[in-house]
Amino acid sequence: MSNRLIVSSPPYLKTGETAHCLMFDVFVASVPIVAASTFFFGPRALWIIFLSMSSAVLTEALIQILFKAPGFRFKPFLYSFLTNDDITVLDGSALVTGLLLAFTLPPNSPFWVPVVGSFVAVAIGKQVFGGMGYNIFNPALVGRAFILAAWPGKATSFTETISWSAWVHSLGINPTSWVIDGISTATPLALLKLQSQATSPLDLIIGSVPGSLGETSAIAILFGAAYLLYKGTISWHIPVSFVGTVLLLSFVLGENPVFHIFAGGLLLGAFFMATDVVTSPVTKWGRIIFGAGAGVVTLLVRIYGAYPEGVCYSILLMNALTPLIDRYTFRTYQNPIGEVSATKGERSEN
Amino acid sequence: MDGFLPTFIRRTQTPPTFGEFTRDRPSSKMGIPERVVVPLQDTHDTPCDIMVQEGESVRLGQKIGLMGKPPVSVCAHASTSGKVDRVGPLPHPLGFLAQSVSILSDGKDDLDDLTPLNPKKIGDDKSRLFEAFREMGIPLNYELLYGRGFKVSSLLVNATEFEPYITSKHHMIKERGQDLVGGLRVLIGACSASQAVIVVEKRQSSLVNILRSATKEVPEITIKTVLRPYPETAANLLTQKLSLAKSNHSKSVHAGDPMSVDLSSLLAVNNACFLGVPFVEQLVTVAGSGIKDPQNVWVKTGVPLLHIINHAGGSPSRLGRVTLGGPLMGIPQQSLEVPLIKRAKGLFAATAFLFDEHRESRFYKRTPCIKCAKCVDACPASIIPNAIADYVDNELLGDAEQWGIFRCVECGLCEYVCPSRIPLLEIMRLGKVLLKGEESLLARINLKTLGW
Repeated sequence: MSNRLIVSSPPYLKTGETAHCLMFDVFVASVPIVAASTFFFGPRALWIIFLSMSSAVLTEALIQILFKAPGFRFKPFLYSFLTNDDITVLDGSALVTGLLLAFTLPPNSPFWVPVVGSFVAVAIGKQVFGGMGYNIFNPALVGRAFILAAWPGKATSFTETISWSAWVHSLGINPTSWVIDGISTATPLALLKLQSQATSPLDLIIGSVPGSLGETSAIAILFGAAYLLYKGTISWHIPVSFVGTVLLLSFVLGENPVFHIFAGGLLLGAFFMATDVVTSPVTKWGRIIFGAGAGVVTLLVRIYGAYPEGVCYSILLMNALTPLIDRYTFRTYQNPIGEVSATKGERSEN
Repeated sequence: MDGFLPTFIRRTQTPPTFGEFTRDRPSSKMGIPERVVVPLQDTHDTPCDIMVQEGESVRLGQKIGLMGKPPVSVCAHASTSGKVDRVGPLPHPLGFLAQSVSILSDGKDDLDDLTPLNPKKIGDDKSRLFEAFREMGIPLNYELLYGRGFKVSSLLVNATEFEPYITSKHHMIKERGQDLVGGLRVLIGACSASQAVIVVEKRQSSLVNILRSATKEVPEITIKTVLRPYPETAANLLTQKLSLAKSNHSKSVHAGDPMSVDLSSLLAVNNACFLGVPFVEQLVTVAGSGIKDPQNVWVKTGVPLLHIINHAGGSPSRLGRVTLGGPLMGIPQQSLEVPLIKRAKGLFAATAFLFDEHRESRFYKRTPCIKCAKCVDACPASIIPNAIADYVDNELLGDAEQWGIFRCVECGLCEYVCPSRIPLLEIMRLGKVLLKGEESLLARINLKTLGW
């Protein structure tokens, strides 16, 4: 025999896709959102996104070095960091968590809000459960919910969109003067809820309204979502059922459907948060039920609840139901024909 | 990770067909081999009894293995004329030692005097007819036939090419379409079937045209098109999809289920009934990165794989992996001395370049399941591979069975799409073996040794 042949289990073809690719797709899809938030809220948006992402990565690296990689050698730090198989920071999931958390924060948050929020998101939302793939709740939304509960004032005080000419004029030699004080104002949803004031739909679609960093510009979110759908990173089931439920239910309840879809974080939640693969159901009908449930809860919170916005809590609630939805929807798949192969015990022959 | 340019290229979730290597090239006929090794058992069934001794000279088509009692194996035939130089246990492509007859060819290929099998002459005794089929070495689902008293309501022929690289079904229909239909007609009469369905992929419209024109006078045969190819093991799924079986398939005997027939068996039935030639030749595709000249070859059954690879211009010293069948469901081979067995559709040979034998590379290492549901979307049997793999890994075999591990058709699509590099097919097979309690090759593989 001239050489040894490799005997291993088929298949011998693989897609080139890894989990890294899925994370990279989210970064590409969020480019328009980052651009829009920078345009509307000024360079401070970039600063908050940077803080949030770096805090998330540092938290994950620290936790993995301390708890998940027992044989980690600190002496050649960079080398052992890059070559240790137990350290999986570089898969990009922590960066995505940080990015998505930053999208849910107000533009005028103090610097420690994204830092603490990302720490909680990665440490308690993800690593406590065992890291990527094992978390029950969407980590970014866990961080958001934590901030909302711990500092409600910081999490819900929004500013007007920036005036770029004022910002250019304020540029001086002293960098501290670069940050201009925003004028506190209310988001369209809060305006509707507290003062019964509607916002024009065009402003909502373009995004020149007060709100969280990533959620205001519907057009940027839809660009990113179109990319994700085109690449196959997310499937259409969850966003369509989520948005569709909100559309139908707001119509039934006598609200303005267009307003409810484009205001607040609904589109960001439907396309970027609810479609988080780890915490959403795997069956197709399960995904549709997941989206519909999230839509119902969102609208109930918005119309009857105490908070003006309910996307965050609706997705977290449905995340908790995901294993149940999977189990229930799988039962409907079963049918007797499959048992033939079990009794016959066919073997695979080419 | 992709580079910059592939950022805007859509990733497909179905394997490429790679049909362009062999589809449009004419098939060739392999010359008389130096040696053939005829195994006396096709698969794991009971081997037949040896009828020849070492040193005896045999002729092409001569019976060398006598079949046992029904419903077991079929007869074995010499696929070349020559001298028997060895009788005994030799390696079989399915990974065990099988009683085989090794024949040194004399280069003449004298045909044994053959008499065509005439179904009309045999008359109404169906058991004699099927005995004649078994004597001709035609592999059919005899277990089912004998169990149902030779009555099958419908026949199912899967003519879709599931495996990448493999195009032998395409060529067989193109070259021998009439003969295939002839064989199917004989089988319809023999099984007293009311209908026969040939399933073709929709994009292969040329095949549909060939088959439509060939089956014009046969109202029992219908051609159905499906959008994506189905593996050979997925006969139940095809039945369900084309709704061939009756809807009351709950607890009764599955009398309505169709019997699936292989294309090469159809050709063999035709040859046996009209020419009197037993199953000694078949069409296989030889392709893969280790093959210089990929093509479809008519090869005699029992030719060692080394000869076929040499015929197609592959250099055996550079090969790293050879599988009988395609790269998705094929049977891996550890030696090139093993013979070609009946019903094999192709031979996939890849060079030993950039293989990650032990899954050591970081990008090929198994990472935790992220529940992306790509395997669920890809699965033709609509089970949830990631959940079943979880159950098998944690030795919750009862749950794995409840979640439908036996509906798995082992097509390997779940593992193909998995971004976490989880060896899903391997885990599924392991779970089946553990559940059935059968000792097999896979049961000896320890979970730990694979680094799981």
